Amino acid sequence: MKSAVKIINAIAAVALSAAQAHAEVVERRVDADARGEVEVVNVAGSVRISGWERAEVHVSGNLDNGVERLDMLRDGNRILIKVVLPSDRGNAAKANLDIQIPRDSKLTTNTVSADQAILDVRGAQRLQSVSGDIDTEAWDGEFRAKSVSGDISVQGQTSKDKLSVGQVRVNTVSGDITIDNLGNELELRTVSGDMNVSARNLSRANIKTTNGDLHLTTSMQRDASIEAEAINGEINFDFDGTIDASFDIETFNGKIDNCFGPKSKQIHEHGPGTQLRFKEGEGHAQVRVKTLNGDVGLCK
Amino acid sequence: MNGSTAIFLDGFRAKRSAPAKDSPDSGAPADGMLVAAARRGDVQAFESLYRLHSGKVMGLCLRMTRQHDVAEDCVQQTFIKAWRNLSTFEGRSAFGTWIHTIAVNVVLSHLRSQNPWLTVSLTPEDDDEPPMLEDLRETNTGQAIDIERALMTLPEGARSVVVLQAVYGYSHEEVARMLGIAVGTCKSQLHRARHLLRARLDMTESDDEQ
Amino acid sequence: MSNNTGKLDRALSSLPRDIEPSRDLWPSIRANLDRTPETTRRPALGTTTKLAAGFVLLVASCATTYWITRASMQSATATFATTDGNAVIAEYLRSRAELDRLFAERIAALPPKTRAKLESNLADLRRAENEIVAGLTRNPSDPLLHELLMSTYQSEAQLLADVSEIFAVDLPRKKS
Repeated sequence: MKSAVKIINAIAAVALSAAQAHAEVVERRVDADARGEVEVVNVAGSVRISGWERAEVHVSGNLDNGVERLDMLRDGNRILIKVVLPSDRGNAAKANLDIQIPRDSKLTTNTVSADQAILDVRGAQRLQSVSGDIDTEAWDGEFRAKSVSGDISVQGQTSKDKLSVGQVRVNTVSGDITIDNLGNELELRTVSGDMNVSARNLSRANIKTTNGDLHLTTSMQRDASIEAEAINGEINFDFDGTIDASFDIETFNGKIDNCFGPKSKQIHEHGPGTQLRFKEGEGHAQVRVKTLNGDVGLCK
Repeated sequence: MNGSTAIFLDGFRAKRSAPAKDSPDSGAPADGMLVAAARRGDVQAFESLYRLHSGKVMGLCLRMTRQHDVAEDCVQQTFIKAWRNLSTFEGRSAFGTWIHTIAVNVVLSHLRSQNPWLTVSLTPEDDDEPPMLEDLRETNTGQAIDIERALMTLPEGARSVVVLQAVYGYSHEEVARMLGIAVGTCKSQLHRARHLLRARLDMTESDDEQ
Repeated sequence: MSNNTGKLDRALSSLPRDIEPSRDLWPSIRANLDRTPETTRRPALGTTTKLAAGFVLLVASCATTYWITRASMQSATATFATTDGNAVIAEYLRSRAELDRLFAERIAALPPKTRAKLESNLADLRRAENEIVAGLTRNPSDPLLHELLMSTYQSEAQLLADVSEIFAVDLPRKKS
């Protein structure tokens, strides 16, 4: 939450200075379905989206001189807000947008270098960026976020005293992934970004990295299934609460460190491969980790 | 507006004041160049097409929906859809025919959203009388007003067919294709429409055959 | 056009075809036209995306089949049982030159820093694959290596598919 507020304030400062320098100031409003869909497309600049109680979409912001126009189109219960650039252009002109949408809307975003900051949008989210950062909250709806080099930060929010329970999927090429206070199902993919995940009551996690490191702190539901895989990245787990799980850890060239159970052993007497298989408690949950070169650490 | 577009538009304003009645789509030759320009993204060319065809599209939508504000909404949606689908217009039919087909689809979608059980393909026996009558704007002689009012009283299916066939001059095959019904159903609906109109206009069958 | 010249038909055909709307609808229509395709009208999938997405699915299903087979056999020396998996990888490697060309074409429009990151990450994946293959040369029946290799090919195919999806948003084009 704090990082989201930081990014929002930073974006506001940028928007203000841009407005003072040059650019066209825009403001539009349109009635919207309280549970409709909103899609926001911007190439460069920033996008700040917050949910509110009104059945209305409100856009304000400023557009660089190079921006052709801001479209706000409605098709049934779907609203598209799109920054349109001229077809023959060199560098992307910037648009800094401040958007309020009905809180329970489904949100889709698509930006290139524009950062996205999203607060209090409780419907499903599908967020995509190339190099812009994404900072958002996940509630109960389905959540997807994807970027190439932008960092993605997701803060789980609770409603009615329960953890965010939707399925969360995050995918980056080199952007870092930070997840805080999420539960239920996680699917995370990165090639070289680092992942810092703090979860509660995970039921399913499937995490894959090539070179980035993973640090996961979580408690597990009774029949949870947690799988993690790395080529060169390090994988470290910190388990909260009582552990009731079967562990299957294997690495070709890395080391396995376990601070609460048995130690690992070589698979072959003379050759690569280290393995750690053991049960803690009744062994109901499943934890499976595979790496090529990355070290693995388990702790509680 | 660029020079060539302005010339086309001025030329067609004169023609438009006396539309030819022997074809559903007058002014076709210049449409070709405007359509080609619009397909390249020339919004001004598309505006010219709108100016040329909006009257007929509005007439069609108004007679099919019987409500002004709904008809205007349908006109807007028709041209927006036409713009988005310009790449699919192959020029096998006249542009006017193509855009009327879009307009018919837009109207039918609207009518179905109001009444999910509506289908123009229903046989005449299933086509119900409309519950209310909306007056058209009065633009014509007494007889024209009478006929317009009588048209408004027709059931949806019969009205759609007679408007497209008898007012706009499309053939049975073209009307059937536009409405998504069989040619036989189209002919039955037209026969029924004529019968109802004659009754409302106090015409006898012998009047109709003169 | 019907040849019926009866009184009713004459009256119907003489009705005005043009009826002007009560106001000029063009401004409202104009506001809803956009020159560029809507983002949600995704461009038709190009070769890169179809090929890469297909490989992602195939490799994923082969990897799953393989892992289930291996787990049920519970043997550290279980061999890579699925011939499907080998066929998929072989096909993928044959298409790789074309995929690389399409990849380079796609990322040419990206800012240099982002382009460099993508190229570097693809190179990382290729290096990982080479390392695993080298390991397999020395340990041909190692099930962990087989599993990681499949998974890395899948990551590579996913990267190519993701790059294609980026182009749903207009990117700045270099001035010629």
